[in-house]
Amino acid sequence: MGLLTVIRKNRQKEKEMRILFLGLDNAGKTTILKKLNGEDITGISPTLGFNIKTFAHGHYTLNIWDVGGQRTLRPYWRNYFEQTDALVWVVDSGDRMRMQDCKQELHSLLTEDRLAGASLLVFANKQDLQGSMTDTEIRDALDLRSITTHHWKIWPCSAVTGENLVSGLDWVVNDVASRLYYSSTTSLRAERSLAVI
Amino acid sequence: MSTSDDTTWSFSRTFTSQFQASRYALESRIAAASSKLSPSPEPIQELSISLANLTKTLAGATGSLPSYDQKQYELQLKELERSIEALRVSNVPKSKFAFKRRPAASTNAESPTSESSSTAIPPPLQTKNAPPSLPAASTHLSLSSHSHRYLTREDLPSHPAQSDLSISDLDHCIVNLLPSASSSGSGTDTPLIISALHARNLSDCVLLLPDVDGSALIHDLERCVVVLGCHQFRMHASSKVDVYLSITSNPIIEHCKEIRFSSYPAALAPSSVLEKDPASFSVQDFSHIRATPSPNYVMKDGTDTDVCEWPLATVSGEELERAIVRIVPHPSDQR
Ligand SMILES: Nc1nc2c(ncn2[C@@H]2O[C@H](COP(=O)(O)OP(=O)(O)O)[C@@H](O)[C@H]2O)c(=O)[nH]1
Ligand SMILES: [Mg+2]
Repeated sequence: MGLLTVIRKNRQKEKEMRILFLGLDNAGKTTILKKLNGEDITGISPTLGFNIKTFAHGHYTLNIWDVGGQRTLRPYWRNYFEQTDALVWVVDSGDRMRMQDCKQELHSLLTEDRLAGASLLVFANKQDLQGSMTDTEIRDALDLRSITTHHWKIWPCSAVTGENLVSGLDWVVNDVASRLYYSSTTSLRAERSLAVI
Repeated sequence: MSTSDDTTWSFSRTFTSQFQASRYALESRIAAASSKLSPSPEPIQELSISLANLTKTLAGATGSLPSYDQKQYELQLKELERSIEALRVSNVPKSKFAFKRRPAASTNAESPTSESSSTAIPPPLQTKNAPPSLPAASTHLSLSSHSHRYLTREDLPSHPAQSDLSISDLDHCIVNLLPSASSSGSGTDTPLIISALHARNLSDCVLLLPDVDGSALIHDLERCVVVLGCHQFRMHASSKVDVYLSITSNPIIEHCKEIRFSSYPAALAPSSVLEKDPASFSVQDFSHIRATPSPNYVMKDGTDTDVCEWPLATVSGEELERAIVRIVPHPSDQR
């Protein structure tokens, strides 16, 4: 494929990662990505299908896939599993009524062969909302501590204020990098770079 | 900041022809594979990988292509993806192929060896790198488990002027949280600002809500009227609901039946609603993703269907009953 070579040449020095954003609908996946990308976050319609965003994070190129979370779309999630380096599971921290649903979907994802080994970042989004659950409450509601198959971390954030988005992404990129490109995590810590936007 | 700021990328045109060539090639490989009765897993895997590469290629060109083109290509790829998925499905027994790109940390997952469990969270990272704590919010505003009641802001537990709200398990209730409704009570109340709305399991209810400064997520409503403004509207598993909406994006429904949409009634509109452009939204039915119109909802145009008398004053007993019956969709309504 000639084209790929052209593009590869452009990015030879860069290392790519493929990150999949999943979660129930209304969690804030699209909003987080737009915010990270410096785009306007008003007037986002629910995602019918998927969005792809590519941006640089430090010296990594992130290909981020944002797939719609409506129940009818969830069976299609597995079409996106191939070559996933990291899974970012986004939670609407104010959605107490669906935490059970959220937990089940997450745990069933983690049994997928094709996601084996992917790092897992759980974004406890919408922390700006008055009634949102804390990251600790969500960690327990989703029973994250029972997860032994994936490196995971829960991170409170807000797509509206932008709080903690970059640092969360930073954790996941470093975690993937330490697995794919380095033998030890220590070497990378020093060069953590947060410049996304 | 995008990686595509390589200014040398005036290659939209080159891209297009090469992209299309790759796409056609892949398409014909898929066609070839599906003409065999039982394709072996390897070719399907290869197809997936080719598709993933092509998708990556497209993603890489983001920002360097006209957005319309980009969209079209994405659609084309989605189409291919569907064909590959169809192949995969038709290819029972399922392939046990697991992608072998990295030494999976999970191969030893089933056995709870000390190694796999200790890698779940590297402890030093956890402490050193703990996210800066955000204010721990513990309260949560909810209106739940009532029947045959007229409910206003006074029925809410004490709350800040701005909060997200959940409404659940109501039967035969009118919920009126319009700004005018609270002035009757404690006088100088600042209007309640709702930053997100969750509603679940309501039957024979009327919700009169102001402009929500965020999204509305609604489940399991039956025979209800919902008046509301919001940024996003998602309704699931509901039937016979009349929705009066002021919205800046496209409302979506899923697993819903007999839904009627109208715009927010001018008579009830708070100024924040009136300031918006007159609503012209188009509903998306996620349960009916095709070209034909969805049978699950209709758009009403305001004039002939507007409820002329909204139940704005507190009522109880039979009067409440009558007010509800008068405006909620009737169980036997034929549409
Ligand atoms: N208050 C608040 N609202 C948010 C936040 N993130 C997303 N939202 C809202 O939640 C709704 C759903 O967001 P969207 O990105 O479409 O969710 P998705 O279905 O996961 O892609 C939108 O109305 C957003 O404005 C957040 O951090 N805080
Ligand atoms: Mg979305």
